[in-house]
Amino acid sequence: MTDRESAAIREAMLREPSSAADALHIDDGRYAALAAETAAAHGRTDPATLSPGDPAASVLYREARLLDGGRYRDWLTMLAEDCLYWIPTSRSPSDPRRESGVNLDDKRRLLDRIVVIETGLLRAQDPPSRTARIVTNVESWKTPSGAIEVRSNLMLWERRRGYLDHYIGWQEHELVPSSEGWLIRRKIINLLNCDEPQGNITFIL
Amino acid sequence: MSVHNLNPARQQPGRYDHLIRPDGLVHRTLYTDPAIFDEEMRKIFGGSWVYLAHESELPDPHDFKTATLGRRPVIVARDGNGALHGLLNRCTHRGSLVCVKEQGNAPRFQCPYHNWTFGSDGRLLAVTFPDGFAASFDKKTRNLGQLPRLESYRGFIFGSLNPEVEPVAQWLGNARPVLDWAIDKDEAVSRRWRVVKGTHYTFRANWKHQNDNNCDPYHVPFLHSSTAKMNEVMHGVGKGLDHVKGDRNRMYVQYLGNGHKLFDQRPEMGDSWPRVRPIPGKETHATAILAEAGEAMGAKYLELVGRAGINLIIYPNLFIMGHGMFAVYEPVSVARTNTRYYSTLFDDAPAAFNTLRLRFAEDFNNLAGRDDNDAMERIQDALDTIPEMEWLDFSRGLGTPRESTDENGVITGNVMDDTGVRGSYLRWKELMHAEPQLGVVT
Repeated sequence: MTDRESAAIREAMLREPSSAADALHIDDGRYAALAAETAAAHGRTDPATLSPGDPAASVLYREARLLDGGRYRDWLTMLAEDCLYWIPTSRSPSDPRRESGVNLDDKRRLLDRIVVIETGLLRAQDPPSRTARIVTNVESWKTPSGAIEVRSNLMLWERRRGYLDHYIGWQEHELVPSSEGWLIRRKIINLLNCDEPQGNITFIL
Repeated sequence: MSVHNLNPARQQPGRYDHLIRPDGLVHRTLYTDPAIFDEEMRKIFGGSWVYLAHESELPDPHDFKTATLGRRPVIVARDGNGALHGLLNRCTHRGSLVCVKEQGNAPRFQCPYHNWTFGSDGRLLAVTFPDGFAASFDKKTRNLGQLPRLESYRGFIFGSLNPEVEPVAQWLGNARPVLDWAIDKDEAVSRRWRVVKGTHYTFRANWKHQNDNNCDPYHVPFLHSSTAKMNEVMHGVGKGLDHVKGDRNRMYVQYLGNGHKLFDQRPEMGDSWPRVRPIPGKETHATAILAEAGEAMGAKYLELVGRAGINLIIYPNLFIMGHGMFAVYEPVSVARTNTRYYSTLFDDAPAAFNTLRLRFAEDFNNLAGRDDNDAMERIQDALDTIPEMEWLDFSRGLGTPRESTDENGVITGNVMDDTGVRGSYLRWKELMHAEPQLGVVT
C-alpha cells in the first residue's frame, strides 16, 4: 500500500457519518434491550402463536426448538406418559424385540438420560453438543382414534469440540390429544446410516 | 498351556523395546504412527487369530456373513456341505469386492464387474465369454483367496493369515476357562443361540485405547460418575456398576497370556438381576417370563438378563461380557475405530426374555459408554498434537506387592491396577517383533 492510499483510508475512517441516524440508535439502552430480547428468544419454551395451520408442524417445530436449546425438562412435558422414543439400528420396519436400538426409551429411561446430563458430570456432554436441526416435509394424517400420525424429514448438525457431525433421516411422530394440547406418544428417528456405527448420540435427537 | 512372563529380561529383544518400557511407560507413537498401524494390521490382525463371526449368524449351508480381518474385507461362508470358509472379499479378476451385503444366503458370489462367478467355497465356477482366454488359462488358479486358517471354538469363529498359528483352543490358553464359564452359564439354559447385531459405535481414536479401557476398572468411579449419581438419586444403591468404586475388595484384574486379559467383578457382584436398572418394560416382561416359564426356570432366565461380571478381552479384537453380550473392536485407521456390540437371543426362550436382553444391552452403553469414547478421543487429540510429551503411564501396581503369578503363568493384580493392560503390551511387542509368513490359499 502506498503512503497516499493509507492516508486516504485513515481520512475516511475519521470522517463523520453521512447521516447521524445511521449510528445514533446504537446506545446503551439499545444494547440492554438487545440483551433482554436475546435472552427471551433463547429461553422461549411456549407454543408459537402464529405458526402454520397444520397443528402437527407446530408441535414438531417447538420440539426442535426445545431440543436444540437443551431444554430437556420442557421437552419432557411434550411427551405422553406412555411415550416411546426409538432410534432403530436397521431399516424400518424393524422389530425392537429382535434388535437393540441406538436408543429405545420409555419416559422413565428418558428421564434417567436427562438426569445424567443434568449432573454436569457426563463427560460426553462436556462441553455440550451444539445442535441445529431442520424439520421439513411435514405431512400428517388424522387417525380414527383422534390421534395424528406425522412424517417429517430431519437434518441435524452437531458441533462439539471443533468437530462437525450430522444426523439425517426421517421421523415418525404420533400425537395424541390431551387437555394441554397435543402430546407425543411415539417418536421414531430413522437415520440414513441406522445400520452403521454411530457417534456421540448423548443428546436427544 | 503357554506361559507368558512379564519379566522384560525374558522377552526377545527387538526394535520396539524402546517404545514399551519395563517401568510401565508406553510411547505415544503406538497410537499415532500410521506406519505402526499398518504393521499391526499385518502382524497382529493377520499374524495372530482374529474373531470374525459367530456360527449362529450363519447356521445353514450357503449362509454367509461379511467381516473384517484387520482392515481386510472377508466373507465367512458355509459351503453346500456346511463347512466354513474364510474368503477374501476380492475378485481374482480385477479386484472388486464381490459381496457388499452384511449377511445372507448365497450359493454363489458373482462379481458385478464382469460377472465372474464363485462358489460359496470360494472356487471360481465360471468366467463369462471364456473363449477369450488361452487354453493354458486354469480356473483353479483364480479361486477367491482363502484364509489358511479358520477355526471355531464353541461357536466363535476366528481366522488367521498365518498358517503356522497354534490351534485356537491352545491359543485361548488361560482365557479358555473364563470363556467356557460364560458359554456354559448361557448353555445351561439354552443351546439354541442366535447372535444378533447390537449397537455399533465409531470414535476418533486408536483401537488399543478401547482394548485397554475394557480392562481398566480404575476409570469407572470417575469417568462414569454421572451415571452412578443418576442411579443413586433415581433408583437407590445396588444398580449398574456401583460395585466398582474402590481398590479394597475381592475383585481383580488378570493377565492371562497371549494378550488376553480379565477384569473379574464376580467376587463382589452377587446376583445379576437385582442389579439391573429399570430398563423399559422391566416389570411387565419379568412377569411374563415368570408366568410362561414358572418361578424356578423364570428366575434362571432373569439371572441371564443383566451383567455377568466379566470383562474378558481376547486379544486383539474380542470383548466378552457374558450373558450373551460381546463386542468386536474394528480398527479403521490409526485414529479411527468401530466397536460393534452383539447380543445373544435364545430361540427356545420366552419372547419377553429376548426383549429384556436387548433393552439391557442398550442401557449402560447408551448412558455411560459414550464417556469412554469421549475419553479416548481426548487422548487421541492430545497424543496426535504434542510430540514433546512422549509417554503414557501404565505402571499402576508395578513394583508393589499387589501382583502375583500362579503356576499357569496367570498374573493377578489389584482390581484398579494395570496388570492386564501391561500384559497386552508385552504381547503386542512379541507379535510386532515376529516376522510371520502370511499366506493365502487360492
